[in-house]
Amino acid sequence: MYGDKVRIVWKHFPLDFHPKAPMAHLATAAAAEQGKFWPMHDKIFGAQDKMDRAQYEQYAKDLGLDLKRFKESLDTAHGKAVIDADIAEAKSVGVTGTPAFFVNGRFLSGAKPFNEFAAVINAELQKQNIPIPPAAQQALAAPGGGAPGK
Amino acid sequence: MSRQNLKEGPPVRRGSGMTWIEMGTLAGLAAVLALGADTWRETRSLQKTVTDRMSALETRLTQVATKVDTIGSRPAQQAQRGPDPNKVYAIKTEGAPFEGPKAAPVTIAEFSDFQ
Repeated sequence: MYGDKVRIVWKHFPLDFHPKAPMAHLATAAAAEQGKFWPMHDKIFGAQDKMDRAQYEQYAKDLGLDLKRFKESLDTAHGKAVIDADIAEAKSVGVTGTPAFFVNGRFLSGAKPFNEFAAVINAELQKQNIPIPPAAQQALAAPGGGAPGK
Repeated sequence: MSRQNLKEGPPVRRGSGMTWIEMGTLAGLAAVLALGADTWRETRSLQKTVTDRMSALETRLTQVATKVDTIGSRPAQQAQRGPDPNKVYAIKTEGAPFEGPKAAPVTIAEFSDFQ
């Protein structure tokens, strides 16, 4: 809808009470080292009933990653520093749950309907005198839309 | 035979003997009265203690109820905490995986997990 106007940046925030989360985050970090973060992310996200290391190694194979390098990364928990830094940053700004979004630094909790996102994104575009894509305007005009603070 | 024995029974003293019985009865009555008064006084002080305790208990109960109310309303307050929606945070994006053009006018940083 926003085409080239929006960039989405991933920040790791495994919640304490999700025992399988750390390995999943390490696996995506290991894939990121080989430029395949999002494909790995999509595979893990798409099958949350199959979350274990063997499964991630299979994904790595499927994605054509260097499996030896991938395994080494997991063995040494290579991505841990990045993940821990993200967790520390999340906590420092007061994030307690997932997903949590910051649109150009403005906080939106994940429980918000789409049009609230659109409202914040549109406001950011307007600030920079960038025209709002017609599709985004239509989404806001739809029933239940109502952008707060024009 | 035995009847006669009973009738004669223990020797009963007349005259001054009656006065002793009366005196004994009087003494007994006085003792009962004194005991009664004592009991009444004790009951009074006990009542006072109970009343005092009750009011102390009520005070404590009110305190506890206030505490429970405070704790009960806390989760709602916590849910409202977290990042300030009116603030602009500088979220580090360098080196983090991203989708979309690097120079996009809008950057959405997503803190997320997999479970």
